Amino acid sequence: MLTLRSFLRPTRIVDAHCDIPCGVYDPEQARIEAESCLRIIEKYDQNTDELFRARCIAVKEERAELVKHHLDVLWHDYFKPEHLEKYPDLHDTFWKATKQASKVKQSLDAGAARELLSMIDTIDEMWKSTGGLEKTRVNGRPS
Amino acid sequence: MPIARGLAASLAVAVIGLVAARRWVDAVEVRGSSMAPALLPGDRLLVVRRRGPIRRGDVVLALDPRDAARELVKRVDAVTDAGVVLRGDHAALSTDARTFGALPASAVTWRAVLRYWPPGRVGQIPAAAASEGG
Repeated sequence: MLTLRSFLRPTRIVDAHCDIPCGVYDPEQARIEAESCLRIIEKYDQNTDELFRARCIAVKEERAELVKHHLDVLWHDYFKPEHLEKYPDLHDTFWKATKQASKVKQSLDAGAARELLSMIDTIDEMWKSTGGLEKTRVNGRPS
Repeated sequence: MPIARGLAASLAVAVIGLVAARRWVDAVEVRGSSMAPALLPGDRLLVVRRRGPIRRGDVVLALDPRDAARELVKRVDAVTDAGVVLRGDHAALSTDARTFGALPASAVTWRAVLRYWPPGRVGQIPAAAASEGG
């Protein structure tokens, strides 16, 4: 009976997915929102209209939130344990980048927005070197 | 003593038999709800190595084309020239051929034959129910 019981113990888990990992991931999605933040900050600086400036702040905060969202999705859905072996600082990189996105959300500092872009570029390199470009986009990135 | 030796020998044979049988019969646990209500999360299934043709309606295990380390449990929706089309019964909660296309028959490795756990759900795997809002 003991052997029958051990035989009936499942050897593995099989997936009937309940979420939809559509498998499409690209740091470009976060980058475009971060670029929006930078441009909005520049436009804010060049304009004195109160209403326009208020809109700039509102929209920038919304875009910065999207940066965080897209980075989060990459972080926990695209990157896997084997990538962590290749990039031991992966968690730290994402943690800092999402913190930077918060900073951009809270401030009107164009320098902070540029710093965020360069952090996303670092993540982009990780994505590319782990085969993201070939594996996750339908036909690669549009040229 | 001969009796004890005989017992030990038959036990050894039984263990070896079960280990060998693992190659052909195995037990797996379901995660996720895409096969609800036929399969629910936590259900345990007896699966047999697939041999011969794949039939529409079979519940099968297939290697995830996006991540070969992962095994999917899905129902065969159609067998076409392009390959095997898999669907979750609960379409709204399923990632299947609509996302990853038809699979080669070689990716379909096991067929589920029996739901043996939990006790209240022991039985054959039911045919697909009408999907709720796919």
